Amino acid sequence: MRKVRVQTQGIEYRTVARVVSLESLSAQWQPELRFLVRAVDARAVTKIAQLRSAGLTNLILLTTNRDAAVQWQAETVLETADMLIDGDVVAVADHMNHAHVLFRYTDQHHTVFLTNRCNSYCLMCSQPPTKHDDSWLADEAVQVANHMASSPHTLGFSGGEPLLLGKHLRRVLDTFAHRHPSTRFDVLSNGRLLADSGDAKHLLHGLGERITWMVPLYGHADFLHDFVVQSPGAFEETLSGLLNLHRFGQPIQLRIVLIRPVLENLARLCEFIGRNLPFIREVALMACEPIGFALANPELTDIDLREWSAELIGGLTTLKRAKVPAILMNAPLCALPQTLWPYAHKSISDWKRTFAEDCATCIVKTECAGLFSWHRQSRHAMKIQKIEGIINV
Amino acid sequence: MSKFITSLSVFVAGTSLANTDVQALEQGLDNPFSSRLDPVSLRPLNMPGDNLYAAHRSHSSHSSHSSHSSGSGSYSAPSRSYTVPSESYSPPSPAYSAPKTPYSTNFGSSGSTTGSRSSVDPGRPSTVSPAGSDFDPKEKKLMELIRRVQMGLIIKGYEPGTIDGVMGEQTRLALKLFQSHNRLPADGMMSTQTLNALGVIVPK
Repeated sequence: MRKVRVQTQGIEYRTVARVVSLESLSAQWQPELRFLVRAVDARAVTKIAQLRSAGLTNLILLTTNRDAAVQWQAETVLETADMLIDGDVVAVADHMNHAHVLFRYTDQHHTVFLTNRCNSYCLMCSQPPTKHDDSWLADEAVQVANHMASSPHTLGFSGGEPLLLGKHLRRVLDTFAHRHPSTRFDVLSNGRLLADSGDAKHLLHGLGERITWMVPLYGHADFLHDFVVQSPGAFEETLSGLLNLHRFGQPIQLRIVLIRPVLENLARLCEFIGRNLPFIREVALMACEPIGFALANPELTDIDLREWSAELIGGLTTLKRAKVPAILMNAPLCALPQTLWPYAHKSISDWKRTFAEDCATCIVKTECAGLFSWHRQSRHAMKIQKIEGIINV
Repeated sequence: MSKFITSLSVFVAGTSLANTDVQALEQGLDNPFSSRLDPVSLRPLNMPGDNLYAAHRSHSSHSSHSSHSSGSGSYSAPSRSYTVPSESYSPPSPAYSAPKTPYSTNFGSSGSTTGSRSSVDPGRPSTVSPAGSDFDPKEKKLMELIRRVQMGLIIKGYEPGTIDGVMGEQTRLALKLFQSHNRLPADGMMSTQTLNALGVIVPK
């Protein structure tokens, strides 16, 4: 989640607001929303004060002027280094020293974070779950939907495990679908809580086909999948959940994170998908994000994809034969054989994507997914090898 | 980048619109922009057809409803009569009865005009309870527009009073003052020209 350093005053509780210029305020103002109104000069500060005293109490002053912020008697946000952008949906509170940018229209990837709880405990989890009650995030997600002034092409929901929100997940999805009728949605979920067909019906009935469910599957059999997600019974539950998703016409993308035990069995996993789950819309093979539990399990997760080219080609060939579309995500092009480049996608969220020094002169940099910003060349197995020329075969 | 593309598409939309106007001119058709058409003009904030409220004004002037030109072309008078929009507002006259012309009474300035109206809706109680839930969406939009005008006035340095979506006396005065400072007819009406000068977009 993108953070912008700010100092706030008078904002006791975490508050969601839309950043807006004084000029466009009149076209955007609604009584049930909150607005961070940017004051570019002292005159603008006065105008905002007048608007507030004329009844617009849901305006928060946004300024870079420390003196103006100190003198302001009500809620204020002082930008200290980076700037917020008009249309940003942010969360601010006095106890935070930054504004969480929950939505920025110009970003390539949009994600709404729904919970940090999870019912799995994957070996390579990039964002280890916590147990505390964070159900307030569901309400915040609804607020985000209401505060977004423009609808992006695609928006993802992630966690944690979103299905742990129970009936609140449907409320969140319905609000977004209602407010943003042209947007497509992705839900990152392990699908386990959709194993029960009654629960599945409650959540999925009448949901439409604008949502893609992105479900991880790590093995062709329980001993492998359950080991990777560190949860007995998960394989059966996820499969049952996949079948329920299919029953309600929901598009599914399977997500396979490429760690050692998965790569060792990739051929069988791809065969399993081709034979048993032919309704899958797409399979995404994803390089592992070197953070979180992945750092704690380097012997299983820290691999150089170059050494696994044969497995990748084999798996993708099997899927192609079964007519299940597949893509490769998060992998820099130089880690893949050139024959697999057409599968590669630029998939890393812009706020956590980076390139190594060597990449500066690489001729395919613009097509490349790059690296996660927490990747350390010196420490991780995956090395960068800049591409200097392409031989067309 | 996508932001740039968005604004570019607005620009393109604007130019193609201007071109259409030029073509219309060449064909000798009546062109609403003919007086201020220039080759690179962008789309104004509001087109005449956007503003269904240009005709709303103080009820002292029912007689002139048919006479003013801006934006009234696509305005069709709805047949419903009007309900009082806000708890805090009370109709100017205790003997109030719903007028035939919609919107004309409650947003007008108080005082001056009670006599000229005839009671045309005998089936309706003379005092209407201000229940927010049965608002006509058009009335909601009108309140929203007035709210925007009030905000625009404050931002331009005028004093329309409380931002309540009601065209009260103070708002009307501020609007007239703004109009006279901007070489617009100081009639206190939310004409398309006035809205564009205020930087107010008509709610869709």
